Amino acid sequence: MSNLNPVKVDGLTHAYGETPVFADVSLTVAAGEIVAVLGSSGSGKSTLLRAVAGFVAPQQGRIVIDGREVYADGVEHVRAEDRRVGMMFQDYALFPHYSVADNIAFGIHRQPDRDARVRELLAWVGLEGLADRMPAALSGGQQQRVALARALAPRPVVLLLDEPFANLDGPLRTSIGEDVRRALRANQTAALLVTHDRSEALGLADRVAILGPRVQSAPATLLQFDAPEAVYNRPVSAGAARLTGPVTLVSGVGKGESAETALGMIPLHHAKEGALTVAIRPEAAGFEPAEAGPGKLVGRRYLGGRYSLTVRQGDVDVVVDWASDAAPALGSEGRLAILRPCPAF
Amino acid sequence: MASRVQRTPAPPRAFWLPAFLVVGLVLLPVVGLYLAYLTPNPLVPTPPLSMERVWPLFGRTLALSAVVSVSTLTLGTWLAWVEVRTDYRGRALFASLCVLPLATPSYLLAAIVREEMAPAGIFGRVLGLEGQFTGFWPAVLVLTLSCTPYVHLLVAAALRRCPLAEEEAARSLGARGWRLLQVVWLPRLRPTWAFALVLVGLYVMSDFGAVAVLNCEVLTWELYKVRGGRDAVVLGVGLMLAVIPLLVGIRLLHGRTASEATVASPRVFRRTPLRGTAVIFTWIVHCLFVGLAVLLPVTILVGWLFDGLSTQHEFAGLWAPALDTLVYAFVGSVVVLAAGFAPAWLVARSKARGIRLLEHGVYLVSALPGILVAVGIFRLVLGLKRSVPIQWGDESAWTLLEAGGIFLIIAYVMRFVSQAYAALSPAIQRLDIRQEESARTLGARRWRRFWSITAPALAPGAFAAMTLLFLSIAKELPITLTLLPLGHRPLSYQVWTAQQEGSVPDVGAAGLILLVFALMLQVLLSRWRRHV
Repeated sequence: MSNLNPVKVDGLTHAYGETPVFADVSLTVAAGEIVAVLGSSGSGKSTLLRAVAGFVAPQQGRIVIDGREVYADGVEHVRAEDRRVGMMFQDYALFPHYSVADNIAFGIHRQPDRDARVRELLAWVGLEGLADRMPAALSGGQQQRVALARALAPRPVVLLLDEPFANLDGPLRTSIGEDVRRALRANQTAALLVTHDRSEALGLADRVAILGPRVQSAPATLLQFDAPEAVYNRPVSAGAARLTGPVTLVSGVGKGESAETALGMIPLHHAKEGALTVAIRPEAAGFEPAEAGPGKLVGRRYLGGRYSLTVRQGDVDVVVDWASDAAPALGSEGRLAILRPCPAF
Repeated sequence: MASRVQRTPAPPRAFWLPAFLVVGLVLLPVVGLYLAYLTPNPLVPTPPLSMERVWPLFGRTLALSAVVSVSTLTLGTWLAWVEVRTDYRGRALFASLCVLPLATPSYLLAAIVREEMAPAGIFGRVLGLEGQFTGFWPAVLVLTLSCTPYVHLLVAAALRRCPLAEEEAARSLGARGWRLLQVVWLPRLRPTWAFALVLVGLYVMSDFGAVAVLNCEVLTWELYKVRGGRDAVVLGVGLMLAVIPLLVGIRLLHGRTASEATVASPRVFRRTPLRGTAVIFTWIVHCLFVGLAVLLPVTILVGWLFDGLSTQHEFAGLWAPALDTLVYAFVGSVVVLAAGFAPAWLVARSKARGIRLLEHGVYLVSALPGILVAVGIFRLVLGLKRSVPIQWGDESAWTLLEAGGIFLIIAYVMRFVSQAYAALSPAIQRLDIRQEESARTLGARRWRRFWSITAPALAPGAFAAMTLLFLSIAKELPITLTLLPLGHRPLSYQVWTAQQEGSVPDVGAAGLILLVFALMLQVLLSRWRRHV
């Protein structure tokens, strides 16, 4: 792969008629890297993916794939057929009248090594014996593997994944996700993954682009684009914090290394002054039962081996992780403890 | 070369012209009647144009529509109810058999009823009838048998769509009997009944074959009789005025019944078992209906054929009519299917404002009664020959087109394009755009995408549509009768001329081939419909 960043999206803005979708979205994807676009429903993340594929024409912005400007400010320079992108859809979109082998061969039908490539991909996805099967005769996981093999057959520069694991159950989802990651790394193929599932985004991607929600007539914008650990531990806004995991947001005043809030002084990741909002992740907070404590347990949910507790202190409800198989009873009194520095914005 | 791309896969621009041409066909009969008004036939006396002649025919047409609508609604609803909501031995078989009358051409049924209810006929002798069994009430009988399956299918579909949860909620709140009917069923069935009433009304107003054979003096039959004269103009206009409110009603009510479909409940009803006299009554009604509409015609036609054989009747040739039927029905169905493709694709894929008007236009074209289309185009050809003489060698170009069957095919397109549209439209809407997008990302260009992805997905729907069109064209009478090129005699034409000449064995031979062929295709279509 000659290009350092096979995919570059620069200032992309799109609207459906009068309805804005997203504005000024910029991101890059490096060779062998998986970038997840995380956003709530309707935030335009699938539209962004379809714009890169060439199915949607944004009003402004630029898309560069493998060093070629494929689209710029309303003018298409390279059609979808020639962009060298592979695409995997949520419902796989296999061609139902073609066998597994024919599906995989569709994009390489003129290549002399077609049959060898199909055999190679079938072996790689573990479907050697199913070459002549029709898609309807396959399980969901097998269909997903065929879709992956078909998308990778022409050796695309970038693989676009539109919620590709949404129809799979838990263990299968994890194993196929790992297979995809392995394949992309091995081939040094860039990948842009669209998902609303934060655990999928944080678990699979090398970097996460958080697309904020559309609010009334305002388009969605890119809230943060960083490594999974960074977007989780150091969200730059309330929206980014909420999209990346459970969080309690508390207003306060920055006093250097800590902030003064309704919950008391909270240590901060970075020193800040003035009005701010502190984001407390459940694992950054604890509950210490105590007679006549300022806090009270108002919610208690068992998650298997641990609990999610809701502690009310003052007017603030804080979600707390309780890493034990036994938790205090509802109504117990105690004190909220902040166990580590929290991000603020 | 840089170019602007569309937000969604837009339909090819080349589709707009054929789509507008198809909708524009609606003008042909209007222009034909206008030319007939401008240039009356010098060989035929030209009475002054007056609507006075229209009103009695108009009244009789309305009365026939009203009586047949009520009778079909009653019988069709009852058949649908026992099919969907009850259980008895033989239910599935009768449900399948009740659709078969759709295959029987109404003019064939009418010919059988007329002959066998005549004093010399089987039933005429048994019942001691005197005089010809023709006119209003025989037409009611035949059209009721022909139209009931439409109502049956519509109401059965509506009953299946009724949400079971509503009935259960009403029952849990103490509703039963009439109250249950009033609260749950009537609100659900009312739009379907209204649609069925208008649909049957339009069918009856447009019917030509049954009323012609039974000499029931209504607009369509009279229009055919005066097709060469100036009265055709007033009768044509009268018929158009009669059907337009029904067309508007159908389009409005169709939208309402379609929206009902969106609340479909997947749960299956618990059927009420029928016992004792209820089962016997149900069997009798079903046997009478299927017997009169399907078994009796087949038996009578076989009888007529054997009568002819036993009396060494000199039969008219059957190979040429059968071949003509196959050729015209095949060519017609291919052309009609092709004509329906562009509008169906545009309505499914175009985001243009008012695109639904195109759909209304397609239905409007096909809703014109066959005889109106036939006479309108017949007069158009006559008018063009007189007003726009174009020579091709020694012959008039219009005569050559007429002899080549071009006007016949155009009329078939007008009459049946909505059938092609109705079959193709859902197939196009069901196409998975993501499959096309997948193919694009895999480098497939437009033609490869069409042939390798779109065409195979459309093929089953298109094949079913073509079979239906083939059946409809093979049975069609008024257009075939009026616009058929000289020297051709398809089976429908053969049946008509044989019964006009009183040659019962020839009606038997041609009718039997047509009916058996139609029944086979109908069975095929019913099986496909069940799998959709």
